[in-house]
This record gives sequence, C-alpha cells and structure tokens, in this order.
Amino acid sequence: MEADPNPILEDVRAFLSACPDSYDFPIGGELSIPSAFEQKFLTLLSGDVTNQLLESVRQNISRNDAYSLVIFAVRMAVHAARTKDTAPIEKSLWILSVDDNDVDWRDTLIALSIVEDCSARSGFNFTNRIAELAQLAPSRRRKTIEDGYLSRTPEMRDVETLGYKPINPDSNELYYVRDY
Amino acid sequence: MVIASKIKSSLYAWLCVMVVVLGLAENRAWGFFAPPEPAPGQIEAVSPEAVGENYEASAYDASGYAVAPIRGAGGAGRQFASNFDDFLVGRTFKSPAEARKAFDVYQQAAKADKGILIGHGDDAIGQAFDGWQAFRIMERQWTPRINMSWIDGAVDAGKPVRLITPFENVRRGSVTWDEIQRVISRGGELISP
Repeated sequence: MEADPNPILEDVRAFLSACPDSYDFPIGGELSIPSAFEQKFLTLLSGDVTNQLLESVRQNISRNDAYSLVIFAVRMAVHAARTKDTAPIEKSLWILSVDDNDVDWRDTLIALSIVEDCSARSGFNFTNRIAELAQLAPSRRRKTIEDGYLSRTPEMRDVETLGYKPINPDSNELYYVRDY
Repeated sequence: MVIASKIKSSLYAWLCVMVVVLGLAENRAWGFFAPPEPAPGQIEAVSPEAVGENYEASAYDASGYAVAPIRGAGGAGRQFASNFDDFLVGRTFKSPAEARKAFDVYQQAAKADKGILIGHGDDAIGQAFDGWQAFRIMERQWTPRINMSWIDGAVDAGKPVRLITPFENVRRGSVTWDEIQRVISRGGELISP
C-alpha cells in the first residue's frame, strides 16, 4: 500500500470518524468544547497551509464531512475565546477555505461571523488571516468570503445580525445560541 | 457514508422528536426551535400542540422520506401581514434597512404562483420555474431574519414550500434545516423530495 503523500488526510479521516451524530451546525450542539477527539485533532494541526493540503482534503471529503470540519473550526474559535489563547483559531481557520460549495454559503456566513466574534474576544487578527486564506479557497468559497462577508459593513458582519447571540460573554463558558 | 447512512436511518425518529420539541419550545432555552413570539392580537399564533395534532406521520414511507405534502397546523396559520406595521409585530431586526428588506421578500414570496423552493445553497435557483420561486439575494445582504421572512411570506399566504435538497443531505442546525423547521412550526405545507 502506497504511503499517503499527505499525512494530514489520515488525521482528518480519524477526526471525521470520531464525530458524533449530535455534531450539529454551527457549534456541535450540547457537546462540550473541546472534546477529546477534537483536542487530539488540534494537536496534529499546524498553522501552515498549502494549496496541496487544501486540495487533498477537498478531494477526499463529502458534504457532510465538510460540515463537520467547519463545525470543528467554529468550536475551536469558541475554545480560543474562552481561553484567550489564539492558537486554536490559528491552527483551524484554514478549514473555512477547504470546500467550494459543500457547506451552504449561508452557513459559511454564519460560521465566519461566529469565528470573527471569537477572534475579537481572543485577540486574533481575523480579517487579515481570512483574507489571506480566501486567496487559497476555490472560487465559490472565495466569493462568499470576500464579497459575501468581508465586503459587509461591521454591523452586517456582527454575529447577532447573522442570527447568533453570545451567552456568557467574557467568560470561559462562552456559548452561542440561535436568535432568529 | 457511514454518517449519512446513520442520518438516513434516524430521519423518521428525528422528525418525530422535532414535532415533540416544537411542543416544548415555549422556553427560549430551546431557542433552536422556538418560533418567534407574536404580540397579542396582531399575528395569530399557531399553537405548537396543533402542529403535533395535525402532523401526518403516514406521509412518510418506510425509510422515513416524505412522499406526500406535510402540513403542520393544517393551514390554520397566521394571517398574512399586508402592511409593514403588521409585519413588524413579533419580529426583531437589527436595522430599519433589514426590516424593510425582510418585508419586501415577505411580499415577494406571497406572490409566487405555485409556491417557493428551499434547499442547500443555490440548489433552489436552478429549479425556479413554472411558477415556483427561489430566494435570490446578494450574499452581502443576506441575514437569517430576511431569509425566514421570505419563508413566512409564502406560508402566511398559504403557498406550499418545496424542499429541493434530499433531506438526508440537510445538516441539522443548518439554514436549510431551520427553513424546514420554520415551515412546519408556522403551519405551512412542506413538500419533500
């Protein structure tokens, strides 16, 4: 059997197989943040993102998998905001530029707004980094990030405008609930 | 594949749970499913119990897929809000512009000849013909409240809502999932593929 040219794929597969059925959009339902399988996956990620990495993951995931990865990225942002440690966002943000249209663009907008809200709470420079990652994203996702999200006014990017309300802000029990 | 299979096999159970939860959704802690709270006298609320009583379980085949229209509260639903002030009752928007846009799309949906289409991303747009209308909006203008106002416009006008995306491909908690919840909780007619 040939060695996997991109070992991260094995880690992605292991992560996806560990995701429970209750891993609901956008923040995994009632599951505690972070769960053990997420912590394990996070330790395997680095902030280094290449086209090869994105392409190999992109070609090996289903729509459902793409949702699970985006949910993971959102949850890691919440984890970062709770702990005031930017590393979980730095290591997982690239996931938002993986798939083209597997995750509904409307759900992508919601995910981006929660991640941005968490970034502000943890001190992470979200706008610069997501703009860089948009350059690596496939065309449909790039359009959503740049035209659909970054071109909005701050008010239109606000997490509450995009339908989610932070609960217990500024605490290590930060959470978001649907509010529309 | 395994996850999709699990979702498929548990679909019927989830729909049943969904209807039960709608009955419990008075508490905003269940906000995921909670319908908006209408002010007295302006918009006639559909009781969650009514959704449960009128739920047509027989509309599902053995695998849990809907094979006939599902009607929540049997069309006993809310009155169509013909003016902006009535429309605003029981709704919260983040800006006047959002409220105005929401009312525009509410009215648009009500004018669909046959009904409206919902589904993942742009799926519905490709099938918006022969009197069926899909929601079109610039991504930078989209908000969930505008989106749901569009659903409400069709439901309040008594128009059916057709789901384009196979239910097994709808992620729980996604906007499409919320659209489905909205139609059912508001007493609308949902036609599933």
